Amino acid sequence: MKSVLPYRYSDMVRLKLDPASPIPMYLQIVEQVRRAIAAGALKADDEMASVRALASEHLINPNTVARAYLELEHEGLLAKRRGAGTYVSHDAEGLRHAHRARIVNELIDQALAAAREFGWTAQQVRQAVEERLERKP
Amino acid sequence: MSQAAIAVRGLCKRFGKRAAVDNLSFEVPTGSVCGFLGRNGAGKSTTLRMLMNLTDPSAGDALLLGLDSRAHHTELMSRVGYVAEAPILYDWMTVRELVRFTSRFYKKWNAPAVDELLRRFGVDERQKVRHLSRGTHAQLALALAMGNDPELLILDEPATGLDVLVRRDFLESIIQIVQQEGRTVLLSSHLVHEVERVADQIVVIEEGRLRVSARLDELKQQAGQSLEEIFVGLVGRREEARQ
Repeated sequence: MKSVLPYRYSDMVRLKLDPASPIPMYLQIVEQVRRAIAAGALKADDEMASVRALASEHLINPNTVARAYLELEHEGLLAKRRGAGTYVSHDAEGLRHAHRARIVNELIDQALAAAREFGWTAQQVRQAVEERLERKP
Repeated sequence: MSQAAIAVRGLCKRFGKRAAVDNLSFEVPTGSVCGFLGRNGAGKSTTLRMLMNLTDPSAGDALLLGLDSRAHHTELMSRVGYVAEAPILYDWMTVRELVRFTSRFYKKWNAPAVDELLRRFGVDERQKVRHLSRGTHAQLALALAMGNDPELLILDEPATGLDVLVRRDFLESIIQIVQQEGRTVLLSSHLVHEVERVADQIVVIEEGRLRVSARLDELKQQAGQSLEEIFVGLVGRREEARQ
């Protein structure tokens, strides 16, 4: 099935960063790592690239990478190990469910916003969803 | 965050009736890379020259690493690196001679670090400075400014006039330079894209006055715009913005 998502998760280990985007660079990193974990492209105990390596690879400020990693640590997705770099945390697999739900819910919200804009009734929306659920993949 | 690496307080510079820098105040946190943006003639170089005590302010003052830029000039010279907009180097010397010559002005000099930078930039040490290309000249000036292991590095339009590939190299070296923790870089430019990549802090001035001083990511999140759009919104004339 063709993916409706903006990234192919299997490719996710390499980040795609756009410094000229209105989205702050650290958030681009956070979001892409979150998605990679949600999709299973990054698994529990996988080692992350070092702040240094990532900054040099993408030619960006190391502070930016460090800030993204810190945010992901706060979320419990990444964990630092003393003197041994940053890893996807043990319980990341458990968090995966929540993140998958979040991603699907966000996409549903987007669809609902569009439906509302076009003046669809709740009945029309339900019908459209039902039709799709019944379709063979 | 501890004390700010740079604190500018009410800085003014008048040339006759014209105020090149007009009551400018901003801070640069220690460990950040700060992009100092403004159009040509906005007062960027004059501000940086005042920070380096190369020209006296008409009013106000500046603290670098917590020290007054004028009262502690000598100490600051050993702790701050500076590359001027068009750095003037003795062009009759060879690169090797100039490096040796410059090193003698400093109590501590990190010769291996300078050599490493020159090697990375591919600067031939036997060449006369006069025969270097513009890009190599700029890289040599940066390498020399790194000789005293500066805690604070101030660069005035360092990449202007360099071609795209050399600019990329240059950005890369700046990133490597800030890898050393606690080191602060203030980088003036009118090339927004370049700054957007490396800076985490932004100061924008227009006609000598502060337009904004903020963290880049917060600025983007608040505005929902790229830095270029924000910049044009801040300093672009109305007519230009509408077109």
